[in-house]
Amino acid sequence: MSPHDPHDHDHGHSHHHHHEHDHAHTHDHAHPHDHGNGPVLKYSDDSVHDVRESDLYPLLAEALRAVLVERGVVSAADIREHLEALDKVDDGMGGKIVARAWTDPAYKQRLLANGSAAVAEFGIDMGETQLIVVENTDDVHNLVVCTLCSCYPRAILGLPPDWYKSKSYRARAVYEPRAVLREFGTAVPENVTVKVHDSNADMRYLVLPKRPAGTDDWDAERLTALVSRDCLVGVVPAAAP
Amino acid sequence: MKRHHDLGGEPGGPIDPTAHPVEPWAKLITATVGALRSRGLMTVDELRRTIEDLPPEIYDQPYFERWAEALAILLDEKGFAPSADVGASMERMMAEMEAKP
Repeated sequence: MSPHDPHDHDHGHSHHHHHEHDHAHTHDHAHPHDHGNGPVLKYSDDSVHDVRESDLYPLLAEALRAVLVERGVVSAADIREHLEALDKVDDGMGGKIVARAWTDPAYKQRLLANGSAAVAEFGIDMGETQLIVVENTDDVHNLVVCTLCSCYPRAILGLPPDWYKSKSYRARAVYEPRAVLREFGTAVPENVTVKVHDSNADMRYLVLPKRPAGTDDWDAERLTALVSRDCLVGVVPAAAP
Repeated sequence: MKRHHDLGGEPGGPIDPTAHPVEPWAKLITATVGALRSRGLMTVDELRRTIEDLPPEIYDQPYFERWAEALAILLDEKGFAPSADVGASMERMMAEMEAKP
């Protein structure tokens, strides 16, 4: 398999919102969820429940592999290859794409017009998924979320970070994006519109951050270092030079 | 009706912006799903359906715990990894762990 074929966590809803917010709401809510129930392994008998909670899921993962391999459903080599591919996702890829867009206007146009085709120029296969690249400007700041699960442009950015998968981020990003952004240390001026993009099975988003001031004579390679994963999701700007 | 996994607009607490490394078992689950998918033995939509059907108290666990639960249910349903076999395999591994000093 290609190293850029980590599976995506898809959902099939054609549930696609664009939320626009011109000002922040700052409701404070106590954490409403009680996580105290512990894991419930539905298939196992009582004896398995005696194992320490922290051991349950590692054991389950190993047992699923063992049973699948034993029954010949997949081979141990299949799984090993996929494990290797997970570790091979190039975490600088997003930066390369952005730096190219900053330095090559024709590429930027292609990227904004058809993200999936433009990232294919970097050898990234988005499969059936449409990649939509949204550009931060002086007037608009973009933020990406997946409210239904944790859809994420894995082919480019690898596995999503914990906060992207958290219930709080998924719940709040759509109605108080400015408050969410402040928790990442990002203050978006009131005169800048915050647009929130809710990903789904068929559409993944990537933010094209604003090129930092004072980098006019920088080449693409040098610019790459200013682009973090978090700025491609829209929670922070590109780093200052 | 809005289902449990549809979180947009719900109240929520502060967000912890730190990212932690992915645990090896979570990578193993991810790779297992990848291997099954590339053999055409399951689709992401099947996994998604199983995740969304998890009871709220299981759904509310962290991401990969939720995936592991859903994958175990789906593979039992499909007959690829019957729950009795998976449970027996877990017990064998636990016994081996206990046998070690």
